[in-house]
Formats: sequence, C-alpha cells, structure tokens
Amino acid sequence: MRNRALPGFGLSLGVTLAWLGGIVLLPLAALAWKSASLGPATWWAQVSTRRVLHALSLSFGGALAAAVIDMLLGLLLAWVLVRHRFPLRRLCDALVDLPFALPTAVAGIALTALYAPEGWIGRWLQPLGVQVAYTRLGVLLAMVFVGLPFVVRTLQPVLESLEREPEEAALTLGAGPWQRFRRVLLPMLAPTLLTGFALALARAVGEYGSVIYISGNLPMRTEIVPLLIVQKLDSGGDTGPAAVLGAVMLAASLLVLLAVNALQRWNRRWTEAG
Amino acid sequence: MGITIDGLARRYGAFAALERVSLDIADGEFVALLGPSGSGKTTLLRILAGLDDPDEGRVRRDGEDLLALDARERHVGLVFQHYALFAHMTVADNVAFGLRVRPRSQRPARREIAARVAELLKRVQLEGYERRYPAQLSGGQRQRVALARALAIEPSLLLLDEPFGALDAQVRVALRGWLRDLQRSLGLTTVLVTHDQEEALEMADRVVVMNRGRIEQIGTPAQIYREPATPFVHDFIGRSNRLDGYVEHGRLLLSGYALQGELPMMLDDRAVSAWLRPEQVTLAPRGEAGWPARITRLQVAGSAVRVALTLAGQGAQIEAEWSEEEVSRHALAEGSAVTVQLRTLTLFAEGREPSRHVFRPRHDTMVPLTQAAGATVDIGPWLHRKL
Repeated sequence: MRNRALPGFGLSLGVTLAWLGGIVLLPLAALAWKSASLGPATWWAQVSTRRVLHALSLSFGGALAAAVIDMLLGLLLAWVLVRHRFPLRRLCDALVDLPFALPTAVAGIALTALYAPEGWIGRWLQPLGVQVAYTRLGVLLAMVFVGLPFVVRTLQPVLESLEREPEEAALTLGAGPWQRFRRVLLPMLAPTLLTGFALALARAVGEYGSVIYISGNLPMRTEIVPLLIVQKLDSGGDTGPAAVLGAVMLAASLLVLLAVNALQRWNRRWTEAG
Repeated sequence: MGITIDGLARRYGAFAALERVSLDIADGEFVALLGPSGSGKTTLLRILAGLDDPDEGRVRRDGEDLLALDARERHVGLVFQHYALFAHMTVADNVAFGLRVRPRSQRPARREIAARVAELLKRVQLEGYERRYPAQLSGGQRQRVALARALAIEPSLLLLDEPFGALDAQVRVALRGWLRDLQRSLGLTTVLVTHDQEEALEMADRVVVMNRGRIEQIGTPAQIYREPATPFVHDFIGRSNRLDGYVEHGRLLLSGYALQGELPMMLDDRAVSAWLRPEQVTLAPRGEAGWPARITRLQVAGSAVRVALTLAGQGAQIEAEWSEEEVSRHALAEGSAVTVQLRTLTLFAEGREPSRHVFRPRHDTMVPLTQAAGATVDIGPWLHRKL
C-alpha cells in the first residue's frame, strides 16, 4: 500500500480508533459493566416480567416489520425519484430528508394529531374500524416514518450509477418487465437494499420520541423498551434495572445487525473474483 | 434473413443522429457500420435492436415490419461493448437466461436448456467455466459469454456494438478472426458497429461508412479503401494526403505547379481537393520527370518507411510510404533532395454539384508557375490564392 489517498496513516487510524473507543465503545462498555455488576437473578427478574417481554417483542417485532415496509416503500420512492422525470421532482427529493431533520417528538405529535380518531386522517379510518393512534399500528407507523429516508438515501446513488445495459440485454433476450426487475435489477440492488434495511431497522429499534406520542404507552400493549428504560430511570435512584434492559436491547440489536451483515456477504458472493 | 432499412431518421432535440439512412443487408451477410463517434452508427444499431425508435423510416426483415415488434419479440442478439453480463449469475445462468425467461409454453425443458448451454459454451470455447461468475473471467472470456448468451435465443440477426472496444490489442485481434469464422459457419446475418477501420475492413463483407448521421459510402473493404466516394471517407480510412487545387484550362493547378492529364469539362474553373495515399507518392524512376521535393523526416516503421516531404513550389507537406529497401538503396536521409511522382490523385469538387474524379497527372509536362509567382488567382468567387 504505497500511494495512499489520505496522508498520515498513523494520524487517520488514531482518529478512527479514538472516535470508536471514546464515543462509541466507552458508553457501551459502561452500560455492559453496570449491568454485569448485577447478579443473574436480578437480570432474570428484570427481563422475565411479562411487561418487559411484551415490550421487547413490540420493539423488535415492530422494528423488523417497519424495516421491511421501509425497504419496499423506499425502493419504490428511490426508483421513481431516479428513473422518472416529473414536475416538482426536486421538491419531492428534498422532502424525503424531512424525517431526518424533524425533532422526533414533533413528528410523533403531528402523526398523533393526524391519526387520532378525530384527526384529519383518523376520522376517515375510524368508520372502517381502523384505529392507528394509541395502537401497535401507530407504533409501526412512527417507526416506518423515521426509517424511510435511510432506505431511499442508500438506494438513490446506487440506482443512479446503475448500468442500463444489463437491463437492455435482458430485454433483447426476451425478458418481460417483471422478469427484468426480479431477475436482473433486484439482485443488483439487493446488497444496497439490505444496507438500507439494516439502517432503518437500527433506527426503528432505537426510536423513542415519535413512538411514545402516538403509542399512548399502554402497558402490555403499546409500550416499547426504550420507554420502559426511561420509566425505570425516573422511578428511583438505581440505574441497574435500566442498564439491564439497555444491555438486552444492545445485545439483541447486535445479533440482528450481524445477521443482516452475514446475509449481505452471502448476497455479494459473486463479486469476489478469484 | 435479409434486412431492408429504408429512410431511417432519428433526432434528439435539435441534433439529428440519423438522417434518412437506407441500407440493404443480405441474408448471412456481415456488415460493418464504421464511423467516428456521433456518426449515428450506434443509434442505427439500437433501432435495429428495438432499444430506440426512429422518427421516420421503415425496417423490414423478409417483408415483415421489424419496427412493429417489441424488442422482446425481435429475436435479435445484441452484444455490448462492456459485455452487460448479469454479474450475479454464473456463466451457465447467463447463457441460459434467454431460454429461461420464455413463456412456459415455449420454454425448453431443464435438461434441454442445460444441453444447449453446454453446446454454446463449447462453441465459444468456455467449457469448464459454467460455474464461474463474470467477475472471475478475463475481458475476452466475458465477451465470449456475452456472445453465447446472445446466440442462445437463436437470433435471426446478430448485432455487435463495439464488441472488442474494451479488450487488449492482442485479444482483440485474436477474437476478430475467431468471430468472423464463427459468423461464417453459422451463416448469421450480422451487423458490427465500430470506429476501428482495421476491424471493419478485416471482418466485414461490406462496410458502411457513416458520418454525421448519413451514409457516406457502402462498399466492400477493397472498394472503401481504393475508391473512397467522398473526401470524408478518404480522410477517415487509411492515411491520406490532401492538397488544395484549382482546375483551369484543362490543367490542375496544385501547390505552385500546373499538371496535365485527363480532366473532365465539368471541373473547369472549380476549386478541388486532391487526395492521395502515402503509397501513391513514389520516387520518380531514373530519367523520368517528377516533382522536386525535400525529405524532412524519415521514420522507420518495420519494413515500411514513413517519409515526410516538402514539395517544391508552394512547399506543401505530404507524406509518402516507401519500402526500407528502396530507402537504403537510394541512401535517402532527412534533408535529401528527391524527385517524386504523384501516381493517382482523387479529386473532389465540392459545392453545388459534388463530383469525384480520378486524375493521373503526366509528370513530363508539369511546369512550375514561376512566371505567375506572387500573383493571385481567384479560386471561386470567395477565395484568392497566391500561386
């Protein structure tokens, strides 16, 4: 490795390690340390309550479902923004980023106002028997909302730089629109889609601000783990129980992301030459 | 199957990519579309493939309207410059693609597909590579996979878009001969798009030279080289010298000399451009008249020597190509004075009635225009030239 683009390998490595160590690993290590100092019995007592188990399943189940929806919706959005030309395309493009910039609490309150039974959208859904605010559907909606930009923004540059020729080759070989999408385009996009999925998933798992407003936080029904953690912190001086829940979330998130990563590597097996 | 292209036009906004292009391609013929970039050759190819639509014109294949068919239904095999292989599929899956996407009723059985793939890979000499991915192949191998993939659908027309453009020079030359033989043995009507004249002249039965969306000339490789129909073709194909001249009283006034020879009446009093290839500039045999010149540069290129000359008269620069043997026999060096003959000049008169005329000057009667030196003559109503 002679000609390096960035000068000072030592310096850049140092900055990288300091960043990872000080800003990412240190707080996580403190969390692990704190929770590890509690005995297994405390752990079990904290995690095995029905309320916590329920919140865990909602947090991860909801996040997985939201990430899947984001992946599909994001693919559609990115596709339209990249491959089609229509009036106000640039404006739409800019709007995609809004969930990034909006304080999540604002997003949560706005969504609640819209989907509450008397809200602008909620009043039309109410007669259909669909209630969004204060239900698990609402939790899902908030999670989808905050995760969508991740998928769109990871896909967009890849779609833009994608060669058109393989699609044209497929066309001349007799493939129909669906076959071209399914057999040619989707495999080329799959690694990027998975990256977007992982990002949206991570975001949804950690989401707090917007969810707590729309969910109504009904124990055993619409309560997410981050909320439980905050409650445990608020309820007393001891940070132990909160640390346990935090550690559980951390471990579960890590496992899910590792799984996505493995899937991604398997998916990219054809790019490795040799 | 024969292809008849009639009056094709394609515009992109104000830019005319194709202007009324007509061309007949015989069954089993290998036609090369040759031209610089932007000449419209790729546009024509994409229209034939169904990837682009013309604004005007028709294309018929054995009487059937090709343009009415969707690209999917045309049975046209297309090979791209950058292979356009499906990177996520193995070699065998790439080749089988065109068979697998057929509607269920027309799809061959799994075993038939496998047999067909094996046969095609044998044909393109890639047996044993079935399970590799494109990223694990060399450029030449990838292009052969692309060819096998295109052949799998048993196309009635094969289109090659700069197929060797991304390959090393050596691989390119080897693949050329191989592809030519393959095309002959299949008897497949083939259109090759290229900007490489060597490729076109070597592979094609007929060459179509294109420029700015128009066809400049259609002919066999020999015709294209020996009898260029337009100044563009003369300039584009091979190496060329161009001299500007004027025809007056049955003489060609060229760079300070008056040359006699057969000149048609219609060229009288017209400005012409005179073109000749370096090999048509020869040393005058001993005792024969010729044009005095001085060698300004000698460049040995293998058995041939490229010689830059300054002609007496107005000092026009031209290039000749002589054999190494000839150069050493006459002990020629830079600075040597020589007498040369211009064997054959192709004259093009442009303007209202473009015309082409082959002129063989008589060197024994050529005279310098010394008496008129310094005077100006009118070359056309717009141009004054000093003789």
